[in-house]
Amino acid sequence: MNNTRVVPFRRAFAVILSVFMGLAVSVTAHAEVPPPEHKIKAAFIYNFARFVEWPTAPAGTPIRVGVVGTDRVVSVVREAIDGRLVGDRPVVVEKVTREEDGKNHEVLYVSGNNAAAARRFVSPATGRPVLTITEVDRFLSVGSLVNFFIAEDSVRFAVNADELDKAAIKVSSQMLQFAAIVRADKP
Amino acid sequence: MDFSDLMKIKVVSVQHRETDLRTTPAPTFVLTSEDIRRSAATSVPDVLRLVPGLEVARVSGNSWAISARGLNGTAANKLLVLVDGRTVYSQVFAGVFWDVQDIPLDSIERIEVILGPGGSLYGANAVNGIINIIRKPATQRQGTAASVTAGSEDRFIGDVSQGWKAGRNAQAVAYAHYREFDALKRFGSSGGNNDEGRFGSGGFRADGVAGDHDWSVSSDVYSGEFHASRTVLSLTAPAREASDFTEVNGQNVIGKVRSKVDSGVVTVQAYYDRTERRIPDFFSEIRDTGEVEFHHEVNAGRRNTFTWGASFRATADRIGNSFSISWDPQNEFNKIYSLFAQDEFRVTPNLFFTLGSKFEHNDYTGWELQPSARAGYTITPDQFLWAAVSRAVRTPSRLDADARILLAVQPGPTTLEVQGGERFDSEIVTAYEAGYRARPAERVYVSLTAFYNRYDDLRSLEQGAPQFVNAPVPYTRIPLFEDNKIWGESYGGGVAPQMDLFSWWRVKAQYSLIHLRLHNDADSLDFITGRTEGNDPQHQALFMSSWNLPHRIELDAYVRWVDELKNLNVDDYTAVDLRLGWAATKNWSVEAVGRDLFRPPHREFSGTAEVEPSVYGKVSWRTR
Repeated sequence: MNNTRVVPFRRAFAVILSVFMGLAVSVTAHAEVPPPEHKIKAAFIYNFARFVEWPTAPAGTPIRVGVVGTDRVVSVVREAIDGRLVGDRPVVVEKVTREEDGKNHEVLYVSGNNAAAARRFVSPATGRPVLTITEVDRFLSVGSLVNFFIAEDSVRFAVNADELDKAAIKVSSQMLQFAAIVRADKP
Repeated sequence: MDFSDLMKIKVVSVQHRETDLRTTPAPTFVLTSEDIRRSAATSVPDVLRLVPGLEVARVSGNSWAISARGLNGTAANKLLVLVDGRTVYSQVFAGVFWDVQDIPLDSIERIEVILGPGGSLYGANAVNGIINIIRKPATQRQGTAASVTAGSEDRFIGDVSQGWKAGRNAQAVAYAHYREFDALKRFGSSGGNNDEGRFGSGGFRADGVAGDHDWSVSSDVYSGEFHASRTVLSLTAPAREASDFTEVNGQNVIGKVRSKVDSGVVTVQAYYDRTERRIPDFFSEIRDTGEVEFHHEVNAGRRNTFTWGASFRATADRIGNSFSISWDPQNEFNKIYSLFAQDEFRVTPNLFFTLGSKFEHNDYTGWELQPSARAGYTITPDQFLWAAVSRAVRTPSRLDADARILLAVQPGPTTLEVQGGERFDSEIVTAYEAGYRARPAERVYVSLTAFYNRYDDLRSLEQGAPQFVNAPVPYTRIPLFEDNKIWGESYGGGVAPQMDLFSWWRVKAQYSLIHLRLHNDADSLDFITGRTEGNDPQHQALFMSSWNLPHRIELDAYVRWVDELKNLNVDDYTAVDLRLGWAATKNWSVEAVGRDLFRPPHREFSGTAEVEPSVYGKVSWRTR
């Protein structure tokens, strides 16, 4: 290492540092910290539970929300809605790791944009009274009832009308009016 | 809050989506499409500079030296590279022609890099690493997208793609890509290095679902010409420099079906690949390769995940010889077949072991065994520890088996010639690795890796007895026979912390170390190979910063430091890349990028080319 080579290195750092410092000051003023995406989705899930009618709904029994995902996602969802009441029914958030376990929940939320994996969890629950929720790009092929997507930096949800017709649960029009309704033949 | 309130809340952008703490018991690294989009790179080899532990050097306009964990060279041969499951290393020298891997960056979903041996799953040549380039399915490329890049080095890059719905359960996309790049600077001169080039490609892909089956079909066609200089050796005249055009052409088609069956998941894949390369009066190769692969993931109870598979690959070539480099025979048909099996066994919910091996047969050395044993332990949900021992081989290429390469002509005339042949056997690595990944705080992620490699039977060039040759003119030939009389050791590792300082500011740093020593066997007469240990940078460091500013402005900075290459007299260098991006509207976005800023032109490897500071601008338009 000779000295001449150190100079550009130092100069580069100086330039970057000064550019950053300058911008950092101007930015901090208007940058808000947005909440984590899964926290918002958890709030959606809680709202879905309010507008879904299960065929058997014994008063006081928990609405079990199964979550497929990392410990991090499960804990975010749990912190947001676990223990909250829908009427007189408490929400209970449970982590789901086995594909066949999801079918025993009232709500099954499969996180992650992995259509193949999502399908493996959703298919055992198809035809049963489970509100299946995914967040994949290829929603229709997965067979879930509800799918989250991001539009204009906000969370939106779509409902698969084909699956809804066949489903064992009823979804209120108060929820459907906010949904993007999707059918396989006319997207 | 009800739906209408919830739908107004802005969420963390995709780039800042929470990263999973991966529990893969290997040093894996993933470049996401977002990492790629926000890089300053314009090509696949370029973007690999962001992967910790990889060595990436641009040698000339169309030539790159890329390696993992040492042993780099323009013909580096211990790295396996796959594009959508198609092997793209060339059987002719067991290396990769990077100039034809010019995949439009927008079409890449992710690049997965596994450092170290992956032989037990991927087979021969995955000695020091695997680069897995995975392109987006047609479902992610719906609508129209077009972009134009213009700059001082990348003179013009044009990309266009159109996706459509091709039936009830299928989607398709077609694309075209064209690049024209300027020559690099000539070392020790103010002029150019005469290594400009052009490359064009096009293709399509379709993806669909039919019941429990996912399928995809894709095809690419490409053609390019690259200006390049080389030294022409002659028995009767002094060495001179020739400057001509390398022509490349290729086509491929690949089909894949992934099915859910009662016992698990079955994947069947088949491809055909043709590559053509012509360097006038020097070398030409036409190669046809076909491969069929079968893969079955079996649900074997709660504790076991058993995977097994088989593959068959056939490759046929026609090589054109010259006095400088020649093959005997010039036409050859090679086949490789293999079987592999692996079991992941979960001892407790937090501790698992993976044991597996690949059994691969090739025409030169017969059966090769490539086993590996790995262990992974989840200490807490935020900490993961792994360790592995594995063995991998690099099987002989056509170059090792059948080629003669003229290295030098001395007065006399006397020639020094590398001679391949049956003496050359597979090269072997035994690797010991360990790693640790953690999330010490909510927005902080760090990974540590360490490795020790023992290499046996590395290629050596053993001097043979001089031979007298009468034609074309009488001369003395000193052969250097390819043999396996080098052994070596390397150790090193890396650390890669990443932190979201704020939701709008992410910083990442990387450091990697590699220390390699090569030794001759007692009876070895090799006097060349030992020095190549100085072809690798001992230290490499990278610092990255990504900002999401108001008004959809992005600012990204990359500072990269690469240590000197002692054997090649290449100085250490620092490269600074800056990128400013603005998503102007829903459809339009623009970028301004400066690369290798704030420093004079510098050489990155052997040869005469220097990389200069450069700038480019990019305008993109897409529907949706």
